[in-house]
Amino acid sequence: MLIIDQFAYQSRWRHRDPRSKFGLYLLLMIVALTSSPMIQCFELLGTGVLTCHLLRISVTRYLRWMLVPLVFLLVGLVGILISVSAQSENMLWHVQLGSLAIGIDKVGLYTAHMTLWRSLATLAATYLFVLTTPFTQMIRLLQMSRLPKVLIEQMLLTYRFIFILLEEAAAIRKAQSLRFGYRNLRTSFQSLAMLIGMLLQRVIYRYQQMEIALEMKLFQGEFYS
Amino acid sequence: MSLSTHALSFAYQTDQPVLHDLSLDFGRGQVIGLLGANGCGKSTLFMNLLGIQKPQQGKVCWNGEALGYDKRSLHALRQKIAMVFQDPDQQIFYTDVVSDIAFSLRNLGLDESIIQSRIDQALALVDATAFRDKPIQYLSHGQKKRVAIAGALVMESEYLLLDEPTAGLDPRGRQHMIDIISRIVGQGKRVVISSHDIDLIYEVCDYLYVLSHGRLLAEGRETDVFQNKAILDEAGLTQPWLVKMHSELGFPLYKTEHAFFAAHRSASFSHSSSEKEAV
Repeated sequence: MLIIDQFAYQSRWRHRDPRSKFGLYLLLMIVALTSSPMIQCFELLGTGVLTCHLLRISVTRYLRWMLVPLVFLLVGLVGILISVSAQSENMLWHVQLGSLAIGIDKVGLYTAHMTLWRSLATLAATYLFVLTTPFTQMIRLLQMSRLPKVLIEQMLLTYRFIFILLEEAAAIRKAQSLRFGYRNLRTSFQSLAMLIGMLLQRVIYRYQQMEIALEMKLFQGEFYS
Repeated sequence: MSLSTHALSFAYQTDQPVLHDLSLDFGRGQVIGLLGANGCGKSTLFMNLLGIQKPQQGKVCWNGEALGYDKRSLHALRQKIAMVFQDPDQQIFYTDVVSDIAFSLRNLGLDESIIQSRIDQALALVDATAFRDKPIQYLSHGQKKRVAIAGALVMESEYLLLDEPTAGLDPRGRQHMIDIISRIVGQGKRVVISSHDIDLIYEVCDYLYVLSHGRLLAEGRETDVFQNKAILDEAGLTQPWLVKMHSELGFPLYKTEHAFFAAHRSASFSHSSSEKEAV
């Protein structure tokens, strides 16, 4: 989240109206979900290049980002590609296991082909949207879509404090590992348990501090966003 | 406008008192310094002044009247006294600078145009205009601290309580903080600073209270208090370097580093030029 947001703040479209960015996202999604693999391929290419340009990043970096969901996608594709059937005559390639044939058939191949390009195109569109829309603009979008205030407040506060929590967890972990807290499995579990316990204490303490600060700022029960 | 305490005693647990019989008048100076070692009760005293903690004995007075602890009185009090905490992350709730500074004003239900103009003023005063559009989590500690101060300034309160304003700042950030404090004072606000940054207190404060284990050890003008070495030792403190130069080496007593160097630069300059003439 942190790195994504950092890129969004540096992107060339940082100040663009979030509604137009969201509109473009919807358009790209519709195209990606309804068109043929050929067009999806073009969309993937176009969105990818646009994203690289807007974020001022190299293509290799973009491809490396793509690699993470690609692993999941490929694992999913294996499931689609391989089918199990009693008859092996429709299969392009198969191994026989008793009375069952495990292999690849035409339908599976076609579905996998469709899924691959559709997924990649929607993925590229999503990347473009999240990497160019900073968090504050996301909040504005949520407000415009008339989501309940409580939910938006929740997101806002979570987003603000998650970094503090992560920083503290990282600091505790670092201090523990400097004193050999993660030397073997036994000490690792002990250290982890201690880390979680300490984090809970800190959260409670911070909550108390935050209450005082809220009172000082004349909090009336509503966060304005 | 005056804030004071009368024979105030406070304890979190009844058998362990934190503050003993404190009678302090925060109207004695424009910038009041609260001095004391770690754990002497400075922050607890702040919590008492703001009505977040209620003293078991004695009272806190605003304009000569004892504080009321009902919601309305406290609400009114906190518009007169604003506080900036030591850790800025404690009091910044938003992800962007402007919404956070606007928070207390929106809670008061002020008009949006007034809010915007007050935000602009406060940001200019703490030199935060350059990063007003940056998300909070990418700001440095010093920048966050300035945002926190701006968040207190917008209330245009009469008193500003600063808890350790220079803790964790680098030398430039510290100097910047001193400039900001003097600007706030220039606007006619009263400031109470709790700190053990001795040199800071000496430079900016004009009246001091020295606490030790929750008791009042000494009070007076900063030049008088800081020349009492025995008392400072007892409180776990030390003299500012400018005072040390005076008491240990016999230099005149200067209020600021700048004044010290200005005086002695011209002295040494005339000294060296007279040497040249002699040659």
